[in-house]
Amino acid sequence: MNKRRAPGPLPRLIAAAVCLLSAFAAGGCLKPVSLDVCGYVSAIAVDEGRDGEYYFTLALQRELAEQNIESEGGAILLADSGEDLFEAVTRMQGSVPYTINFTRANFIVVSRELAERGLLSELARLDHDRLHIRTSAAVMITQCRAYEFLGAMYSNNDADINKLQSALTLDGRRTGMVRLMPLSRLIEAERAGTSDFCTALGSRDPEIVTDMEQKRAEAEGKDPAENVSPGERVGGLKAFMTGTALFSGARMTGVLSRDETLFLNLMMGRLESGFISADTPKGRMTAALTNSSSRLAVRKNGEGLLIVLTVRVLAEPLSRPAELSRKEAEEFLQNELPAMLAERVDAVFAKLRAAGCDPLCAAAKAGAGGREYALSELRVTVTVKPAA
Amino acid sequence: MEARVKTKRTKGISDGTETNAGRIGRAETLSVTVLSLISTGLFSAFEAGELGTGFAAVLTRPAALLLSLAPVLAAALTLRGNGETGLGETLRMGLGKAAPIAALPLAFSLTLTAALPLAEFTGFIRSFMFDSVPTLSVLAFVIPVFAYAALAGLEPEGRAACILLPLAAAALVIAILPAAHEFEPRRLLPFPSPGEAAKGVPAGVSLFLPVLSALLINLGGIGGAERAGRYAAVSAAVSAAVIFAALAALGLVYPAPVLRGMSLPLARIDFLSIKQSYALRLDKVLAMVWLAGSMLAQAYCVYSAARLMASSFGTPLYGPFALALSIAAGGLVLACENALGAGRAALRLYSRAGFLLPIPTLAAGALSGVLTRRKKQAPKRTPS
Repeated sequence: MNKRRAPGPLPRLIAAAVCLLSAFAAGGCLKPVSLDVCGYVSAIAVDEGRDGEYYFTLALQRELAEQNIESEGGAILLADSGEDLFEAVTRMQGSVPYTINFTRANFIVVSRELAERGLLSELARLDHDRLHIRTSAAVMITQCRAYEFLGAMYSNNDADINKLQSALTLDGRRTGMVRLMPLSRLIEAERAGTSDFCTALGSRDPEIVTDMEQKRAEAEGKDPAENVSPGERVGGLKAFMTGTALFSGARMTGVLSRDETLFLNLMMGRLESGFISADTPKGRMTAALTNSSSRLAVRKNGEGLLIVLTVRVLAEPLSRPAELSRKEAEEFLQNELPAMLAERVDAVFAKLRAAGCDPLCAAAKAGAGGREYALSELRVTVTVKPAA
Repeated sequence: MEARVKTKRTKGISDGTETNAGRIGRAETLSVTVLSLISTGLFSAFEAGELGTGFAAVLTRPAALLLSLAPVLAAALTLRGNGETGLGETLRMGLGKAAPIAALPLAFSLTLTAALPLAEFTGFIRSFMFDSVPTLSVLAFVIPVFAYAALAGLEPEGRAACILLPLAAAALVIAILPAAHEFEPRRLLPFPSPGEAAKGVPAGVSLFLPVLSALLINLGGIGGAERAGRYAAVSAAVSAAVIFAALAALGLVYPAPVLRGMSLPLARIDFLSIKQSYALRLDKVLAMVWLAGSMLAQAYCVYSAARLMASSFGTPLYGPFALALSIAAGGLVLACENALGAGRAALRLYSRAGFLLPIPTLAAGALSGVLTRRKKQAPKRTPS
């Protein structure tokens, strides 16, 4: 039997050299790129421009080395016009000493007027791979100009603008009054046509005194709440979420308030955490709602649809009148609250139906279309269980 | 002076040891076959018939894989009496100098099957990970590694597959689990009718039949036709289950109209979530893990094609064939990626009729196997 000889020193040396070279190549040492070669876009805003063009604003993360206490915002804003994003980026690229990179774009903000004109259809059809835009980027609509919303979002001088953005997503998770949707859902609504898109609606209030402005006032020996009227919000971001924008197809057709958005999330089984106030015979109480789930059954009912929705949610009393014991409060939550929630859900569904927005995909499940959906009837049953 | 006597090898070329291709056991054979089947099934682009009405590929690809078993098991049955003589050697014994012609269709199928997943990965890398780099630049990294694995032979490939298969499987689980909360059964609607679903089956058989046939080529390295039949059945069953589960998960996240034209959709399965956790931004890392597994898996296909051609020519040296077919696979990736009109038309034709290509080789091999066995069993005339 032939024995295999161990390889000599030269083949081993060659093998070791190849492994070393491969490691360098894999680590990018053959063509390293420093961080400032790319400008990473964190958010994109789209407004109506002049002469039929669109006005694009990009928010880029400013490098930490350039941060200082005097400057406003941790972002650099770039803006230009173009018939589409490719053209606008090409124009902007010519005036900056770095490569504009969209791999970290997390937010796409569109102004309400463009949303009502159906711009989101073009956004869904864009070649996102070519721009390296991840389709997990959140899409939202703004009541104000989109670039104003971006400016308001970053005007608190936080070094990490992703933390500022996450404040908006956390709003939804904590209060249940925000419904922020990714670009992939918009693409699904546009291409598959089996669901309607709905996403967060935002606005800005330039009068809000930010943390940075308070710090500056204190440094100058002034009262930071000097010009604040009673009842006005102080601190935090100038940008905030006001509710939900409803779409029928690619066109924005309606709006839900923050309170109504909570019930939309309840209907869709997406309420992680929220709060509700209810009037009991002994006074007003507040309860926390968590971990909702829902089940939907749809069938044709004459010319319309019958949508049977079953919702389950956990509830826990947070504050109650002194006369109301905890046991009574919990009994109220289990016995009386379901009917109140069902009534509110019904009202929200009426708004969805009026706007022609079907985020539950009820029509698709029944093999029906928008006409049947417009004549649909909702039967909702809500079950409230005590939170453990 | 002592004469140096060279020991002549008495075993046939099907032994494989003299070519350093090696022999592998059950774990290695199953690993490399399962890795090849899963890589081909999950990372080859979907054809029009598989996305026509609903996401038919969820059913058609596993069904096509199980259907592909039939001709392979039939061929394995006819090769059973010939010891560990592989398909190439059997063709040579039965057809003589015409063996390479009979081997060519299956060799081409194997090379094209190797190129298809690589084309998907190359497209994903160049369009999504880098700023529109040329396909050739990406291939300059992929093809040398791929060719090296094909040249290394069966034993290194089998052993490496034992390591890479669990990694690739873990990557699959890591990709799919975070997307589970976005699953919605309505995205699988409308369910295709049996007739519509059947349109996608030929494309699936075109992918899987060559890969399973590779077991018949490597009979000498895996222990004979009987074992090859068992390995084919087990690999097909396991791979069909994994492909069904992964494609079902994909279908629960993306409806068919969204999947059309999407490259490497499994890497994007988490894109319905706007959360910014690290677990949901692993798409590129996972794609690299799958690429590593896929390169090895497709190298096994090219090695098998090279082994088939070399054996049909009557030589144990498969190296030149492996090198040539690796470069050919790179050329096929270029043709797919550059979206040439002729390339796309050829791919469409292959997806509809490519399942027919391995059949002549398998049939010729089966016939050769029967004839060879009869020749061996025929009583020898002894001189009086």
